[in-house]
Amino acid sequence: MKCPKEDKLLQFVDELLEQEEYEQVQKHIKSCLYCEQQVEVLKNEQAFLAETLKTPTLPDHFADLIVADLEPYKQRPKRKVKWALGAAASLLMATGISMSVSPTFAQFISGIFTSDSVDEGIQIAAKSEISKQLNMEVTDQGITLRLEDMIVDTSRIVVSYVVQDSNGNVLDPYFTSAEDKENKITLLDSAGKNIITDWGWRNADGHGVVEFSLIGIDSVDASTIQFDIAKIAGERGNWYLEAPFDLTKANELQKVVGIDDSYTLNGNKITLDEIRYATSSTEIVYETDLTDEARKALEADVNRKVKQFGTNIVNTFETYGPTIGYYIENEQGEVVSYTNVFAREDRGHMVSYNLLSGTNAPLDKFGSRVWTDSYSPKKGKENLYFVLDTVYETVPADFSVTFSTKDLPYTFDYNGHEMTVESIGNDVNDMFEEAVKEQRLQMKFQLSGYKEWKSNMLGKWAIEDNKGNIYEVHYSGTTYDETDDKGRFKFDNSLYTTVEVKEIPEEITLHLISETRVTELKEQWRVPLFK
Amino acid sequence: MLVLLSEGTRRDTMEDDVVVIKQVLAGNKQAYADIINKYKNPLYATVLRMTKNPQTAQDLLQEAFIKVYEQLKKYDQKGSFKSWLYRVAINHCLDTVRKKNFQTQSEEIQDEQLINTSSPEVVFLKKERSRQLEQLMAQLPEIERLILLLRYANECSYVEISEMLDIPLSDVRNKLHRAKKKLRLNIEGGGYFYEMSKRG
Repeated sequence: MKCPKEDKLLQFVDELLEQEEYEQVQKHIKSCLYCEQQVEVLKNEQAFLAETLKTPTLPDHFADLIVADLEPYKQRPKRKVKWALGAAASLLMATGISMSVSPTFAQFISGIFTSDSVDEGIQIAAKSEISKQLNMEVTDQGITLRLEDMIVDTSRIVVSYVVQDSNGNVLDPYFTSAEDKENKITLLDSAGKNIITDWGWRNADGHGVVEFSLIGIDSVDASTIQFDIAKIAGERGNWYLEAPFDLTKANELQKVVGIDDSYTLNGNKITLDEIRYATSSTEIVYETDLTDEARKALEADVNRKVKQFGTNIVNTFETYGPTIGYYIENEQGEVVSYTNVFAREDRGHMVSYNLLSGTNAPLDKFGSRVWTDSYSPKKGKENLYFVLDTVYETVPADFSVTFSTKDLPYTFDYNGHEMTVESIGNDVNDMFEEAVKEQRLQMKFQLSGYKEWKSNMLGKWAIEDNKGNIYEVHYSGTTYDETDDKGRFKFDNSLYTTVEVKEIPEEITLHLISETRVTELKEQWRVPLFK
Repeated sequence: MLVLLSEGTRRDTMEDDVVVIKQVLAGNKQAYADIINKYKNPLYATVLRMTKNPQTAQDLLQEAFIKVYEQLKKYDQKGSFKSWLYRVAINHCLDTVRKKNFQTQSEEIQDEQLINTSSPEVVFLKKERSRQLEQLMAQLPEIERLILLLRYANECSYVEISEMLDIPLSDVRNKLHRAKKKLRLNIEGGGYFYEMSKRG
């Protein structure tokens, strides 16, 4: 046998050859030193691949954290609701779903919306009067797009669909994202005008699920969702469907309770506006604001910072003013949901639980915003309470540190943080397409360190070289739940300049532009979410 | 114990998993820790490279293990438990990643385990090559990256990967081969594989 090509040897090492061919190559290798060496190289590559990809690892106590919150399998398993896990918005189901709508009137949907592949709110809504079967389909290029079911609620409209070939096989339902211009899914008003072109998508066991959020949208009543699809399952074609909807029933079923209660702490004012009990979700609407005196002081601080560093550095991607962390509990004091709290002393960062989505928008005055947080629906007739946990204030910071770039790593302390500049180099920031396309070399800092529990959260930074040039930076970071022997939480930050910097200066000053103060309440503010 | 079969597939002894599952379903929730500890690290290595954010990967994995626990009664023992678990866990993570479009919070993955095993020069060289490998991996299409991770980080057979991802076995083989070739042929910046392929 002649020496196999490198491609064949690669297939040999990866065990991709048929038995007969595998044995032929194996026999050849035993008598050919060159091929034996090539195979050795390929096996070393493989070993390196495995070695690299098997790291990093999780801490030893990871399993214990999970098991602690599980109920044993004597009954139908469910998680305890007190201080459970998860920083990402959870799509998992609690059990004990109750139906509050008479089955006489409910249109029963038996598709994906009644499975636990979707969130609890959709499951509840699927058994109510705000759900309907669509059963609309269109076929092109031998591929059928079939809209299955729709849920029309005051907070959101959700549609499920499948994609099938001519033999009925289910294909990948993945649409590209709403930013992609090829596939358009649009909510139209009664005049045919686009209201919402932004939608969320997920794959629920092979069914595609598209969701429009109606939070903050007042003008929708009865209208149409338009699917104008140019690419599915790798094929180009033309799939067009219109699904009409009507919000009348959803509006009838929704119960809105006006709260209008306020609390002030250190110049920060929190006002609970209302709570909306919709079929597929429960929403809390509240505002954060400042007293006039606090607003004046904060504006003055921000303006001082802008004079020093410019508005881009101070204001881009930063929102000054208060935000809150809170939890929702029932009459028995059991926590059913929470947002932006530190939950337990072994969590180094804020977490949320049972939160489906959250939006916010600025109001007229500086530092004031309105927030709408959407949770899994309320269970049955239980009374719920809002309990404020923490007030966070994002303010300009006043801290700078200068060091030599030849003398790294460099360690410094600030406000409960011990930070080390590990390295400074030139790199392409692969978070941004243009940077990658242009191969733009940006100055990159790697910072790491430890922070005390509930210490201020560091915000934006700016970098100044020894010639007085100041650079805006993009930053990303993570605070872990791992602690050191002093009980402080590990964190990592990467800072990238937004412009190209080819030479690293000899001396650098890091300026902290903003930070978020964490204030725990001394007395409880607990508000009933019912009349 | 791994058993190498004639067509290059590998099979874990499933009996261990089935024994533990029975204990869990009988009410011994602590036994579930054995399942988590067995699969957590290879799964984490995989999810981390899909989300590119350690905290997010940890949280998603916690949710996935809880989901597996809650659906444990649905495992019918017809296929391997590993395939079933991975299917539930990977699908959960992929669904969330795609929905949330984790593009803007990528973190450089630190290979901590290479420290303390070699001389400083070798450690530096290995870290640099690992970094290059991670960059190359990040450029691969999602499905090719996932197949590589399942094969090398999770030691899954091609049959298992085909079951987990619900794609034909031939596709798994082709995609793995294609992905490996791409890693080896990234000649622009040089790198470990290029250097190795030009030897001798």
